[in-house]
Amino acid sequence: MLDSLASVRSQRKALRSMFDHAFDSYMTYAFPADILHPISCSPSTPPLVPLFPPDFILGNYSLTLIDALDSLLVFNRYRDFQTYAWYLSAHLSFDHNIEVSVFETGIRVLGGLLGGYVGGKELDLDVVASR
Amino acid sequence: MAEDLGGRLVQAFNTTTGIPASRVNLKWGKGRTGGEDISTAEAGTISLEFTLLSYLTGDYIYRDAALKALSALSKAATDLPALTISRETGNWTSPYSSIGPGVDSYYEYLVKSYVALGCSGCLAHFYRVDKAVQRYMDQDGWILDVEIQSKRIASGVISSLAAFWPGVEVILGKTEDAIRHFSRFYSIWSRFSAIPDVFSLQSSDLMHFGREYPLRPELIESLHYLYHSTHHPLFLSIASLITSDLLQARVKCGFATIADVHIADRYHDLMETYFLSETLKYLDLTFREAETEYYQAAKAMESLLEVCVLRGEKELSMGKWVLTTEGHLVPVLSGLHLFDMEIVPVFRSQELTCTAYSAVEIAGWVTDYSLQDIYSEHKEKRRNATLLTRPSLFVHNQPIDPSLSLLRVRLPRSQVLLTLSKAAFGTSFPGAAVLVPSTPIHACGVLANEVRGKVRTSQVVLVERGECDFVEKALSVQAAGAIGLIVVDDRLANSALITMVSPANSPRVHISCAFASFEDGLRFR
Repeated sequence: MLDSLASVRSQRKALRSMFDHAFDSYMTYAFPADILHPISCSPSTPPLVPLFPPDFILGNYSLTLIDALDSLLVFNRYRDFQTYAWYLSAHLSFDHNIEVSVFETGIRVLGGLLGGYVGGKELDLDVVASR
Repeated sequence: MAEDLGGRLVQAFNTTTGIPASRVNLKWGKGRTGGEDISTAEAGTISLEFTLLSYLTGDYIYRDAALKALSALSKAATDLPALTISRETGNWTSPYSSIGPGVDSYYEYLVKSYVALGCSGCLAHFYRVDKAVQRYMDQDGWILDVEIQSKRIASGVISSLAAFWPGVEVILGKTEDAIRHFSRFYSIWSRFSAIPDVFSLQSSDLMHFGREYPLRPELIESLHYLYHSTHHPLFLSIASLITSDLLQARVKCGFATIADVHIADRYHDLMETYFLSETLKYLDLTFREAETEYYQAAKAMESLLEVCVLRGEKELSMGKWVLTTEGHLVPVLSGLHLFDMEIVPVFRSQELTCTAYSAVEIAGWVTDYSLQDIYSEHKEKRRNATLLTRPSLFVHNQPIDPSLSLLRVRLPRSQVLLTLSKAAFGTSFPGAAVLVPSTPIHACGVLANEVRGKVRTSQVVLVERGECDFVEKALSVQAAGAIGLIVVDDRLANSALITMVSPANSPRVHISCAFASFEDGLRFR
């Protein structure tokens, strides 16, 4: 039983380091852009003509960060969660002349903000209000 | 912030039928482009987010918009929902039905709206559709697209997006069905160490499109629910293998989309956001649950010193949440009766019946549906695939000058082309290969390398020049089972690439052989 416990813990550790590599790379090379290009280590460019990705997901709203907010909670990165939630509350704007998919923006951005809000509240992390 | 965005999105729902527009301009409102059709999934996947937003803000415009869209979909329903619907007429505009792209998360939200929001009408509607899915679409555990009128199978193509389905079945307590359907999807993963976006059952192979794996979460999400409901250790083992499979996508600055599941080390330069919000999250939630279980068991056996397990931080407890189709938290609000959908024609609402299964029953299904066998194959493949973490090379098929017998190769994640010279003996080089260093380094005599069989790409052994003839090195490598040999020069001073030749009457070499300069040899290491 102790072996299983140790092996599961090392699995979680490996996953955490995968998460850190992916998320920290996004913050280093792409943020505040929407998406990271992980091979060229570069940010996505805001879509003047939204062709790629084809799903109209880019909206110049730091998409990857918002989508990962409640994952920061799951991976116990509470301090980073607070820092970035604070950043978003101060800087996030939707006032862009960009056409987006209602579905994709609903599930990724609205869902991400709400998930971060209710999750942060649950853990008593000082999240700025969503209104 | 969320309310600001919600206000912009909800404008898309201001249509006669309540079926939303597909796109919206963030600044100016309703989108100008895009036809009047919208996919069923797009129209029916907002109830969790909008209802939570209404609950938090006290403004019920969002919930009502989501409700209206879902009701419009249920009114249009024949027994099966079609792929697309018109927002002007509220009628289906496609003759086909599917559980994959086009409809997928609509099903998911019918069930999750019941669990999180208490929408019993949603559940009743799901059950009605599910009956037709089981009757017409399920072919030996594969769920295929059908033509709605004739109920004939329309295609034998499996979409990786449909792999969410077993997870929904688990939520409904249909564990046996979930294991049966999961084993089919997992057999694809086991074969490719990933799940391609499109897989053809007819040819039992990839198609010319949809060969990529953009690190999607659906199969892993289902795996999470299966472990959650059964606690069968096999699901945990599968999660471990999948975790190590994902490492093949690790690149310098993140994790990249695998461009073709059949070819190692070929990527699209894109990290999808759901890799962070879902794929890694569902894996961690699975291991987290196992950790809690093993911890409690170890504690019960008093084999754990309490001092070792003091945890500095409290963790988010997962019991009270429903996760959205993007993996986001929504608290269970069902006690509040915030959301209910009128079903037309009136359908008696059906409650969720949960059955407890015994460990013996579950173990039986795991065997019945060959899950154990698929896992063993996967494990075997994974064991061999550790080689993939070694450097590999791609041969550029256009030789710069055939008369010179030069070969251009590229190492993965590098744009530099290296020039090698082909030997006068041996065969031509394959398109791609995994490079392994030779032990001993000169390869004069028997190799100590354990050269395993073909794993997606085959192996080429790196050998240093010196100690014995080139042919002798080639024969040693050939005897070890590799498909090629690259001899690296042992001196910096040699300016030209030599062409390796064999003495007269040497045994025939039937592997590919080439020579690399000292400097290029450094890049291989």
